Amino acid sequence: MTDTSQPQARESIREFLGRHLSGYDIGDDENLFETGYVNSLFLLQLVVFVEETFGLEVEDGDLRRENFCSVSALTGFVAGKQAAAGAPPQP
Amino acid sequence: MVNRPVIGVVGAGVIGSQVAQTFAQAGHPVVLVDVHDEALERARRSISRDLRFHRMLAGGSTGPGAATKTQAAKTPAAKGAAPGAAAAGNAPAGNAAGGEGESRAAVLERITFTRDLAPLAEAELVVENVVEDWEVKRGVYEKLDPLCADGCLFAVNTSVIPITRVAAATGRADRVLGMHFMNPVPLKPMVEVVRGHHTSPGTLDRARELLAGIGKEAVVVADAAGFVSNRVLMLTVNEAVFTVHENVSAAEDVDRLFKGCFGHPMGPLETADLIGLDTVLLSLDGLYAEFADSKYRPCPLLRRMVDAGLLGRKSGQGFYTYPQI
Repeated sequence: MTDTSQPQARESIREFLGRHLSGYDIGDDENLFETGYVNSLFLLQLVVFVEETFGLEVEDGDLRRENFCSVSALTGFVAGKQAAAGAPPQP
Repeated sequence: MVNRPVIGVVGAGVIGSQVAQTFAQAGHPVVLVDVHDEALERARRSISRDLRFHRMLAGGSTGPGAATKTQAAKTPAAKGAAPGAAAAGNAPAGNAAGGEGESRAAVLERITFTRDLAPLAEAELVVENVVEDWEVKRGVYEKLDPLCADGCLFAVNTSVIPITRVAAATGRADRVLGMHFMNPVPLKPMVEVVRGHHTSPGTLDRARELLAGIGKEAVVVADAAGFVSNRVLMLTVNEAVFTVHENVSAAEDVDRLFKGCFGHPMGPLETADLIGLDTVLLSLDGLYAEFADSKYRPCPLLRRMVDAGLLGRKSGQGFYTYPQI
């Protein structure tokens, strides 16, 4: 599941960030927190986006920089959460 | 946690609620007062949200200065658009603002959200953050002065109103000082502290101590319009607007020069958009009136943009365009 969905997830995340970073073209491994764009309102929007787009719940314990610091980190985080949540239904 | 003195915060706007949050995170009981219920409700929501993301914003393992250094070396390609929510990013906390490992509920519980000034009688320090309008401020101090304890310090959180003028409206001029907090308060390691004409050394010492307790260093300056930070910043912003007005440069290139050459995390026009062009204009008008010096005359382009409703980030359009949230 993760193998096929990851490129799509990455694309959605890129698209979301592109919309919210005033067109700033962020690299996949570029640290979001060093771009100067991040405040709590932005993070809230990002969390809501991740939850709604990927149908998962971001818990307070997940709110760590390593999960949200880049496109790649976010993609990995989403894949990890989906795998954890989706593992049982997968045949 | 040791018993920390009660802090009063008057005015629950953006900065006021951040001040309340910061003191509460450090363990102070806080009384946050506003005349509007909606403002108090908004403050509660924004504090709750900020607390949720505080650990991420403060940077966890990132030490103070580390992120700044990284940023300073960066030259983000603006591509005709600017960082909107840049304020937090250029402010690595690394301070002892507390709240680490503590539940949001525990911090929020320390804050009393109220329309009633009476609980301020318990406060050792009242930080006043109401609108930058002298008549409104005067009205607030006339109510606070008889109500608050004799030893209570009044900190005026302003970037334009002279501290000495505020002090004169109270019967405790030696216990009135300025505290110019910067946005976002929980993450900024420094406060511009203003010594009014009658502010006593004891008041400044206590203010330094209280600020140190929330992880903030105080830099004390004398009472002059705009103090240091606003006076220099507004003049810089205004001159940057003039370069655009006179077709010397495009806005994004002005900002790129400040970021790439001087290592500023944001350029002056991005900063102006973040502050709000109406606020910038108001500050310049204030400096111009106070000093009667033509060097503070606002650039005509700035005035025209404000007239046109191009106020920066908050209106979706300033020197850059921002997606509406």
